[in-house]
Amino acid sequence: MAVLAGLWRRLHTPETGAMKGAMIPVGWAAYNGVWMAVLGGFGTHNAEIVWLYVASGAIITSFGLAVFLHKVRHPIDPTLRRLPLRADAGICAAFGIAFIGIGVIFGAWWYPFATIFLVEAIWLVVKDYRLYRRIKTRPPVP
Amino acid sequence: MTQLAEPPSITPAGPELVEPRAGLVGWATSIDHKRIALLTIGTSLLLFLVFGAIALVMRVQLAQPNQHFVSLFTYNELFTLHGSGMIVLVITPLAIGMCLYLVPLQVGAPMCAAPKMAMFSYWLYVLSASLLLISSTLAGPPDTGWYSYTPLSDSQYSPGTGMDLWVFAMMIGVTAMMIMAGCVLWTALRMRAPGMSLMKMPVFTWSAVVTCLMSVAAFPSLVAAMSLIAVGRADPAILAHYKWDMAYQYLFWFYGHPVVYVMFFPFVGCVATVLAAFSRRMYFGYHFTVFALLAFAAGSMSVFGHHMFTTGQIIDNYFSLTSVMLSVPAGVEYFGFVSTILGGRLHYKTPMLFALAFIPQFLVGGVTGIMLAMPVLDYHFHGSYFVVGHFHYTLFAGSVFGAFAGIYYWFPKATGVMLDDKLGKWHFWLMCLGANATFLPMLFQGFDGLPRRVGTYPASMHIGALTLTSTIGAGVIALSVAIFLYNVAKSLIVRVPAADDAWGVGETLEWATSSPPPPFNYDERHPIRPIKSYAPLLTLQWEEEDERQREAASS
Repeated sequence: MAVLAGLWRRLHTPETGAMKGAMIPVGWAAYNGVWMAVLGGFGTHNAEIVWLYVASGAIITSFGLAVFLHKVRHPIDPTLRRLPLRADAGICAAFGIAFIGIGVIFGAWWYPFATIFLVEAIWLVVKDYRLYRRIKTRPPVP
Repeated sequence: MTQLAEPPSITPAGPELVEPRAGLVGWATSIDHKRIALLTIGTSLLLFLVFGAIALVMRVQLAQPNQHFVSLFTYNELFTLHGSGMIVLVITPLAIGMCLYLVPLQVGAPMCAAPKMAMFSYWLYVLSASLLLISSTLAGPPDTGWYSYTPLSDSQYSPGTGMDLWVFAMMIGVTAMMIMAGCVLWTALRMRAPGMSLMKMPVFTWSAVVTCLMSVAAFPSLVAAMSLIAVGRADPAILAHYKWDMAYQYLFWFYGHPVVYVMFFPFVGCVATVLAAFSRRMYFGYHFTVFALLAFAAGSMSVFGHHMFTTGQIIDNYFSLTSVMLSVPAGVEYFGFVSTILGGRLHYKTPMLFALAFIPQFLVGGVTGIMLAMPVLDYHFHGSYFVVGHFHYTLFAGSVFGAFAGIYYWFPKATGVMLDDKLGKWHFWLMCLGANATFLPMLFQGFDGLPRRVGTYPASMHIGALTLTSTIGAGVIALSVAIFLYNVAKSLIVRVPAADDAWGVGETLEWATSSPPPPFNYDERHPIRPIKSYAPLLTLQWEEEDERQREAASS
């Protein structure tokens, strides 16, 4: 009981308001669950559609769960503090993925290009992560 | 000034982390949500011109019966590119790009969540657009319509690498927007400034939240559908059974209907914001509107079957019920629009004109949509120009007008310079005339039996006057867009500076920061103002006025 009370207190921080962000995606999935049940009332002719609802609901619920767990671990979002880094890795990853697809269509000789970009992207992410770890405190939001 | 509960001490970070790069490289590698969003919006507007030009070519082809301006094969390619391009590469990125720009500002966050992922999604989007355009120049270009039903889209009936590349471009284009939407959603749910509770988020932010929820929930379905086409193209025998064709349609329309809502909800938010600001009122019925937005968007996942009534493979009654039910939250939103402007002190600036025109025009799109949600009518209209008129009223006369309301309203905030209001009004009136001249006759062409996706039609149909009107209307739209481009170019050259609150009517947090905002949105000179309502600046203004009146009375 004390654990639950503690959890509840951590969730209800005054900085982020009383209503919880995680409830939105979860409520969304629940609402679609209701419509799925209504579909059941119309018969089993379109039973295969249920899988679409289930898959979509699972994705959204996972998002809500991630928000919830993040909230429990970080009652005040650490990214509210400034974190100035660059997005070079994003460009490399995008080109790497595009070259993989192009390679599937036009031939394997595109894969070395994809590999170069993806390795570069991973290297940049690792480099950024190491820099991130080096910064102990960052300027707060005014 | 709102502070964190325990602000950490300020320690200077390494200069290599703080200093942004200059020039184009700085933009291309930025983690600033504003830059990523402006790149996305700019790219989508550029592609709007490309796919709009394609639409003009189609309208010229259809201006008169038995025309041969382009071949019928080319016409098939044109409508495929126009449809897939406008939906996946223009309006969806424009919508989500606006959310990426405004949500962190409106909730008081210094940046968006996962900015590197946001930039990754932008580049994936750029590559998707490039590949989609290249696909039309290769052997076997895409010509199966934006929905590309199987088995027409498999390699037996649509051979060639052009179609292969189109499938891949669609996949990564949709994935890119799903990732960007996830960044926006996380920002709204987890990175709000202290004091910004969910029920104090502005209406636009709520419209962004529901948009992103739909994107995250529905867009994976298109990736699955495109994967199914890819398998069919690798070996058509694998998916030979007709049930796979139905499975494809389920997957496609599970994405295909919610994406329509993704393409207009942010613009509903734009319209709501502009109406309230230029009426000098708080948005009427905020709580009801928030729940209507949530119900409308969540319900959108359950209506996709109305696209498939005529397949005979869907429960008509269920999908008709769910589709018609959406008119209830839509009615609540309309009630909010109308009640906000009733009794307000209206200022007829360009954004307000676009927002006001959105109301009746989008209503035409909505009401014709309700007609199509009824199986008895849908069996009659299915595959006709009535459907084309309906969704162009929704997406052009609705969404694009809402988008321009937002673009004119927030342009000074994003660039620091004002657009010319007179040119803006020319743009508005011409676009209003052009849109209605183009799309209203399409409804009647559908009544008269003109099917969709035909490159020509016989003179015996006697619809030449209607189709010519549509073509002239499309030309007027093109003229209005040219005026808009001239206005943007002129404003960026002349540079009439915009104040922090450029219109003097700003109600939400972004109008308290500089124009354009500093790198982390708010700084010591422009702190986050106290958040006491969903229109925090207006509330503060009222409180200051009350204070002044009290002081005057006591003195």
